[in-house]
Amino acid sequence: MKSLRIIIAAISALLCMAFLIQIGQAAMLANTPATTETWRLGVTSEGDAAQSALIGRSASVVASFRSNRDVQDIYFLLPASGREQIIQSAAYRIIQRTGSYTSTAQLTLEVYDAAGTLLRTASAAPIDLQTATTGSWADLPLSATSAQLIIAPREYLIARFSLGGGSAGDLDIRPEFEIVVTHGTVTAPTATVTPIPTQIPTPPKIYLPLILR
Amino acid sequence: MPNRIIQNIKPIGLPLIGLLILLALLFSFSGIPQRATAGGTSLSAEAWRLGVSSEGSAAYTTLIGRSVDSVASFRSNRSVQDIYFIFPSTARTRTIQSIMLKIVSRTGSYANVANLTFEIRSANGTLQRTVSASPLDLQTATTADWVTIGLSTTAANLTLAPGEHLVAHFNLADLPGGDLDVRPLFEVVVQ
Repeated sequence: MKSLRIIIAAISALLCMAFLIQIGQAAMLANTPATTETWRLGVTSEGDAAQSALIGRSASVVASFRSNRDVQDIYFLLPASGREQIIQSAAYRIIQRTGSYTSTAQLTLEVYDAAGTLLRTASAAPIDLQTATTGSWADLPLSATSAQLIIAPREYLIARFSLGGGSAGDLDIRPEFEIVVTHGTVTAPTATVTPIPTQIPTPPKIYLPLILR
Repeated sequence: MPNRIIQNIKPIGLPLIGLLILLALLFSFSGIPQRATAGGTSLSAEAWRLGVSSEGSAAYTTLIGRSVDSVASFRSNRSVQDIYFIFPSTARTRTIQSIMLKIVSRTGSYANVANLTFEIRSANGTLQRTVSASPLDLQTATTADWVTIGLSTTAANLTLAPGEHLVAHFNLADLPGGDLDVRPLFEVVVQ
C-alpha cells in the first residue's frame, strides 16, 4: 500500500510540473495579440511547392491553373506566418474558365513545410474545378479535424491544383481565394454594451469524488 | 463488501482526490488547438492597400496575370479616358468605413478636369454604386499629406457585396492628352 501511495505522489508531482508548464505557455501566448486576417494574395508555382519558389515573384490576386504546363501539380502559395494560425474559413471564386482536360482537375487546400512536403490536408474534400460554379464565391469546406486546420510557423498554406493524369488539354482556370485565419483566441468587437446583471449568476456546480475515511 | 472496498481505498483517498483535481486542471488548460469561438469567426476590420491599375476596363478579369501594387498609375496620355485601380474582391459582404489617399508623385498637366471617384463595380465592370461623396480633383489635391475621401451619406452605397469590387476611378473629362502623371496610394478600411 505504501508503494502505491508513493506511485500516486510521483504521478501527482509530474502532473504538477506539466500543469505549470502549460500555464507558462499560456502566459507566453497571452503576450502575442490575437488577430484575425484575411489572405487573398499569393504566388502561382508550377510543379514546385517549396517556399523558395516565392523568391523574386510578385504576389497576385488570381491564381493561374492550366493543364498544359508540363506538370501535374500547380500550387498557389499563400504567405507564411511567423505565428501559428488556424484556418477559420476558406472561399474561392473562379473568375474565368476555358478549355478542357480529359481526366480530373481538382483543387485542395493543403499545408506544406518549407521544402514543399505535404503535411496536412485542410480541405474536407477535393473540388472538381471542371464542374465547379464560375463567377460566384463558394465556400471551400474545411476538414472536420481541428488539427488539420493549423498552420504552424515554418509551414504555409497552398491551394493545390492537381491533374488526374498527365499534362494535356487546354484547361485554363483562374480562381481567387479568401482565407480567414486567426492567431490566438479572438473576441469579436461588439457595438452593444453588456447590461449589468441584476442578480448574481448561479455558479457552475463542481462534482468531486467522495471517499469515506 | 462495500466496507471492504472503502477500507482498501481509504489510505490512498487524499492522494487520489489530488490526482483527479490535477487531471481536471490539466485538461482545462490543455493546448489542444481550437477553432476560434463564435465571436472569432465574425468579420474583423481590414485595411486594403494593394490593387491593380487597369487602363480602360474595370472588369475583374483584368486582374488575371497581373501583380498587385501599392501605387496606382493614373496618366492622361494613355489613349483612354478612364483608368481604374481595382481592389481585390471579397467573399463576404463588407462595409466601407473610410478611404484615404496619398499622392506620392504628381507631374505634368492636363488641360481639362482629371477627377478621382471611388466606385463599386460588378464583375464585368458595370458601375453599381458611387462610394465617394464627390469627385476629387487630382490636379489640385494636396501632395503633402494623406487626404481623407468623403464618403457617401447613403449607407447602401458603402456596402460591397460578394462578386463586386471596389475601384478608384481616374476619369478625364475630355479626350486623353497632356502629360499628367499621378501616382497615389490608398488605404481603405472595411468592416
